[in-house]
Amino acid sequence: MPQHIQIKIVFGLCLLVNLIFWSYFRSTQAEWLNVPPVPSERIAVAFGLGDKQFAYRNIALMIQNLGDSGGQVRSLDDYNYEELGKWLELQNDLDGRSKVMPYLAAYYFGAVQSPQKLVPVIQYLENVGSVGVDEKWRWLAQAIYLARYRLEDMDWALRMAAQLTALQTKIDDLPVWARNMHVMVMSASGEKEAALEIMMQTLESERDKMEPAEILFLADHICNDLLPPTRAAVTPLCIQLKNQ
Amino acid sequence: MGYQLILYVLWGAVRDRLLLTVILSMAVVAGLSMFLGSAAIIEQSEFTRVFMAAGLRLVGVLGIVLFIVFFIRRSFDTKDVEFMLSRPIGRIKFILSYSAAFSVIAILLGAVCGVVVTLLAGQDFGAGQLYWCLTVMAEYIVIANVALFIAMVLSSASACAMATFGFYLLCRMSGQFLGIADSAILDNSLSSSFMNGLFQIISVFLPRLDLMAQTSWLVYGIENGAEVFMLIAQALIFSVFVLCACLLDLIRRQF
Repeated sequence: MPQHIQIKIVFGLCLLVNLIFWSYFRSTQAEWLNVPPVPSERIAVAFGLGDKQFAYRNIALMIQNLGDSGGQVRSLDDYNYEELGKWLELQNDLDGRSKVMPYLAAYYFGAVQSPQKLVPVIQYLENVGSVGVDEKWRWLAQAIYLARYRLEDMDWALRMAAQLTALQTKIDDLPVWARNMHVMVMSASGEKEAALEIMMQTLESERDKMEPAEILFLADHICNDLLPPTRAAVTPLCIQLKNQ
Repeated sequence: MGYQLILYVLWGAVRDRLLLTVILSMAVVAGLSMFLGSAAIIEQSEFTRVFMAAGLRLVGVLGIVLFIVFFIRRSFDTKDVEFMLSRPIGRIKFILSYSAAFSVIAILLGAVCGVVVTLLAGQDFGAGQLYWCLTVMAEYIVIANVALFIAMVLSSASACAMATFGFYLLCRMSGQFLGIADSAILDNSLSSSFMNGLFQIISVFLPRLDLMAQTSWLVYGIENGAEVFMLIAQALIFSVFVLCACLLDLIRRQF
């Protein structure tokens, strides 16, 4: 048999076998392995080739997009929150100044459907917020809200409210509403009213220190989720948001 | 140092389109960083700055190492080195000229990194940027001299490139390795003690590149400027050390 015919036969066979492999793997999707195990801080820094900040930003993006892989989107309820809490703590060790992780914890991971999963997130926000530097107390306020209205753990919320009140010795410009957080915790108002109160007050007192994206998120949440449409239509913040 | 020899090497870099290639690669990295940064939920400019700085730093190292390694090996293969050494130039002058030329390229690429990060990552030029840029230059000078040394010693270009990248990675990770060696993570077995001791010895010959060009300086500024000058001084001393090793090897070599 001529050599070029032999090569054509091998070529055809390879194509056929390749088609068999293709049909075998066609429906196989990348498996979602949930929140990966947390490395030690030293190993985590290796993600940034020895650069802590680069490692922090890499991991932050990884955590932000954790459930979106291979065209699949996972519910927050599917996440292993115990492991997630460890990642958040690790990130706090890598960079305690950035607002990315507290933001994600409070506004994204805090929205999990099963409130009992929130414990590690609240613990993390409590740790970050109780340090008493810059405007980090806001995360303690968020932790209080999550504990009181999502987890419904009044004792924990009150303990954190006491911590927030105590921060006035460290933070001169701590707003009055934050100093008196325990009053709101003990009030019988509903979850939406409490969230509205905290977010409106935060926007009012901390707007200058917030990222534009964070302001936009809070405004959007207030106008589209917390306020009834009739009230949103006459609220200046929502009118401003609509006109943007 | 031979002024003309320095120009010859610099002309080689222009002829190899090193600068153009590295700048194009840097443009790709900058674009990717902006894309990744915009995917962040907040602090987008900080993400962009960090990814861009870290990416450019790496691209610069890749460019420098590949250019030097292939330039030197090609010079050997085409007998350029033998030809030049047959002229009244001397081996010491030859190495010093090559090192000076590579260092000029290193400084130039470091400056390009600094300019790109400052212009594209949206931040005013401050002490953080200055120190970052200076330490990137120092890092590139170290790597350029190490690549020169390895390319003069090993005969295969790919082995030289692998060895230099290995050295670079080891330097970038040395802080982590030392931390692990110093901590109580390792057990007291003979092999662990041996590895621990071995790394402690190796670390003497590793400049702390992990402490240089930290992207946190670009985000939060710098607290201890004096330490940066210590790092730069270490880099320069290490470069001289590597050059001496390179000279010792070349002086004893029979052509």
